Amino acid sequence: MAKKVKDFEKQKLKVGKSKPLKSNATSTSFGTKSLVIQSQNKGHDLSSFLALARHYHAPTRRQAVGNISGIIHLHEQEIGEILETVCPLILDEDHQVRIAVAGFLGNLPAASLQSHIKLILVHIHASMTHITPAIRADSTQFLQVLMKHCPEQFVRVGFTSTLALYFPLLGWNLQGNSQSSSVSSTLALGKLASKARTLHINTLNKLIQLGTASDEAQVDILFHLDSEKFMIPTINPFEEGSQITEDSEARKEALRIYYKPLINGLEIVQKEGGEIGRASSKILTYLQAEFDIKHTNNMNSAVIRPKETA
Amino acid sequence: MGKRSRTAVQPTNIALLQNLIRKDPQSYIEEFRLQQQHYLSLKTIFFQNPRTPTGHEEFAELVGFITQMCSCFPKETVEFPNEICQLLTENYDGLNADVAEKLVHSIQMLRNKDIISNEIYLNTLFPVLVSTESKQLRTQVYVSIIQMVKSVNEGAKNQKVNRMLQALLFNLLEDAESNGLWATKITRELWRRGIWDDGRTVEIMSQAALHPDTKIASSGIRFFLGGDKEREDTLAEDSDDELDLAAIQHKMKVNKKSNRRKAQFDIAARTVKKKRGVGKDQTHLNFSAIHLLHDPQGFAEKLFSKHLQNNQKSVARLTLAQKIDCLNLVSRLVGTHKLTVLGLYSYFLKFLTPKQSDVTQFMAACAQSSHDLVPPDVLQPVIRKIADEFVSEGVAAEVAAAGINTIREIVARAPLSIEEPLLHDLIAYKGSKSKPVVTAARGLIQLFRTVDPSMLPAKERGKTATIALRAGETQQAKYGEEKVGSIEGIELLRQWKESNPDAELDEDKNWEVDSDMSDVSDEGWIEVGSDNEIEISDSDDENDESKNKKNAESNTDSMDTTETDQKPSIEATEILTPADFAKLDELKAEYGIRKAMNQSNEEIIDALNLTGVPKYKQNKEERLQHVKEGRTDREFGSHKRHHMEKPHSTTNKQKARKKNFVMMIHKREVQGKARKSLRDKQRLLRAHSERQKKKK
Repeated sequence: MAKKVKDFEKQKLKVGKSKPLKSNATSTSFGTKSLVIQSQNKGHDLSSFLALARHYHAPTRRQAVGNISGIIHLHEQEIGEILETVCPLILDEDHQVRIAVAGFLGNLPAASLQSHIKLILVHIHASMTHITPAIRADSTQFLQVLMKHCPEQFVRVGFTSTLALYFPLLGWNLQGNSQSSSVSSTLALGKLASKARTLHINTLNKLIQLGTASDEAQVDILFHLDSEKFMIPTINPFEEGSQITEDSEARKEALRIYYKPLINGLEIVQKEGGEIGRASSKILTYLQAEFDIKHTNNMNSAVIRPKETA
Repeated sequence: MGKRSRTAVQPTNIALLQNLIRKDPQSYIEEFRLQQQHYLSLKTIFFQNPRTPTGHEEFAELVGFITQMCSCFPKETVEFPNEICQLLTENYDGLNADVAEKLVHSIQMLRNKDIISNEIYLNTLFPVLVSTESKQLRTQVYVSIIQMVKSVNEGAKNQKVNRMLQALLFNLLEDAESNGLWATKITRELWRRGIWDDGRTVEIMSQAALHPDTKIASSGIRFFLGGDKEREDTLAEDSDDELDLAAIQHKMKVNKKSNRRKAQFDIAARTVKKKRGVGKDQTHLNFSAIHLLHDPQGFAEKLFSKHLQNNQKSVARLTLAQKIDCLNLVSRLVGTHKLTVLGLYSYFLKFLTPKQSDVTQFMAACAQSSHDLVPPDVLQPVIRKIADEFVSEGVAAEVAAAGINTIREIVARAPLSIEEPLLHDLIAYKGSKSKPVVTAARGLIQLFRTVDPSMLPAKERGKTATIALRAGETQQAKYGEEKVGSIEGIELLRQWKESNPDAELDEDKNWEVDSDMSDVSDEGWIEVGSDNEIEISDSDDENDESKNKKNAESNTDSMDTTETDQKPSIEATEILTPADFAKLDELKAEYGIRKAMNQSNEEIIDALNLTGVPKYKQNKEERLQHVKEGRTDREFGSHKRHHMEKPHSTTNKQKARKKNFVMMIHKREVQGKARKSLRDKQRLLRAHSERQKKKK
């Protein structure tokens, strides 16, 4: 026979143990759960294109950049946000995407290019030093776009830093006297590589010309007329942050620092001949004319003296 | 630098470039410069928006790359270490998690290569540890700091770094706002690993134990209660997984000899040697935390007044568990160092009731905190209270047992604190029906037979104690009395000398022992001693027998007492030689006298034991386990099977099976198979199939 269960059994207290809970004790513990509703918005607006610009599939990215370029005139206010997404694609591993980005930059209104030039330049500089040769090869295309659409602002902000990056890009030695010692540049043979190098030399030519051209004609709206009185142009290309060159004088000053290694590198390229050789000899003659220096084979003893521009 | 004959390769990814540069740094210097420039531009991009979801992988990769290159191009990367240190200190909370991890990793790597000094390393990482919000980063930094201290202290201790980190931890504890829990966490971990084992470490923890924040305080308290045990456990674990050098040596002998194997053996030998060196160092200074305290009295008083006495209003409220821990620590301090914290005993009175939760813990603490230098009139109320509350007819058996056991523990440490009538009352419980109560009461009787038999009623004293009492050998100890002028363990030496009187014949020899230390002399002594012992013990027995004829009952104890009366002390009558002292040391170790001495005060009282062992029926598994324990030495099962499992040569059966069939074909046992009757064949087949089934 089963044992009868008592109705009101007294719970025993044990010495050294905590008191048992009463039968009417209320548990006040609680847990929480959150409800996450995923966004259902799949419309073809700017935000979705921006998301697609980070897509893992390269053609999708290219298409997204193209689409953004198409509707850019509707979103003048959000240009900063757009550029923050699109600019990293300058370093994209896919060639087609990079070309689309170049097209996108060319399509931008000059005013917005000018106001965001620092952001764009930083990314171009990163692409100029990128380890993948293909990305490096395309880097000067973007420079071309900037030089075409906002030359004044570009040379003002990025002349020195861009010039400095040409040396590692072309495999020239910044220290000067020794020969080109970069393994990648000596190994970069073939049609594509030579095409890219021609482009590099051409943009270098344009950069130097733009930078050293006297800027009397241009009217600087960005600055107060008297601001020049309070600005002391100081140039140190090896230090970050002081890369802004206000006028062509300052830029020439900067160019003088790189003059010797620059001539050295150009001479090597000149000897290669062909289209690239012609382009570099063009730069050489321009530089010599500008700096008024008799070009001799022994550049180590050359005296560098800038032309008087009064 | 000219190009080497090695084939030039165009690097297309960072890992490849890194590999190429390692092999030939000077040829790839331009590539390195390019990547350095790239790093700079990526840094600019990255710090325009440090939390950016994309682009950080590349930056992190480049940071790693340049870190690796620091040893190849020291001139080009002079500023890099400072740069990343600065990056981390300025932006650690704004950084992307992966980049932060990479930066910490790089800094650690640079320290391993000695490019970053230990000081800069600590100064960079420590603030991050204390104030970052990211858990991942915190754990990484914590692990790397511990790792660094460990590696720095391998072999000899690097006091400079230890001091520096300890100073940082002290500051952390002094500043009430900061996160002082890290101080306890780091110290505890380093103590556990046996890397830090000095007074300063303990000082950090004692400061933590007095911290106003309850979390930090309880962490510090728990360190003193369990830190030493943790350390012992880890050191024991470490010694277990030591490489088996002998096995590797054997492999070397058997296997083909090659340079690679030799190198492997060398590495193993070196690690084993290193490990042994460290282990020796650790056992050398293996004091417990409580013994390393500078000012135990002050510490105990502060702990008590700060955390337990409720006279201050702003005192941090500890939970009951924390309070018990604190009480446990204070009582252990008081017991170990024989301190006087008089407020403690009246504090116990409040908690000593059976209905108090975890009362056994309080009772254990109470017993731990009593020692022979506590005035008896302070302890008497405590014992009285326990007796009143716990030991009466109305309470449960286990409560009464707990009460009596606690009183026994207290009295064992401070024998003067109980009065005779109360003792008689408690002893009366030996007639109880409950087993634990009877055991407890008997324990009390047993204790007083050795401590002070005169307190017991005459019939409980036992034979030995009664005789000793009648001879007047045992006297009641007075409060504060200590044995003076005697050498520790001298009794042992006296007994030993009595049993081998020949040992001291050659006195000149004994003095010479001094110069060439104990090893040689010990050996000599042991030989002589063991020889004599046999002879002399015989003669002793004879003496005993002759005396036994006169006195019908007399035991060795009474013999000893009479002898002590004749010769009061050995040091008063003889000049002890160095050999005697060497022997004394040996004897002391033999009898474990040191252990016995420490036991009375340092022994930790387990609260669970106070209630007595609960008695219950064993279940089947437990019974089987007992049975199995008894079987360990013997082998069961068939002898044949054990034989077959061992490596052995081919058996006759196996040989017969392999024998060429042509040699067997004309034998009767083979030819007979064909001539068998159908019935026989069937029988054999059935037997075979049965056997096959059984095998499965």
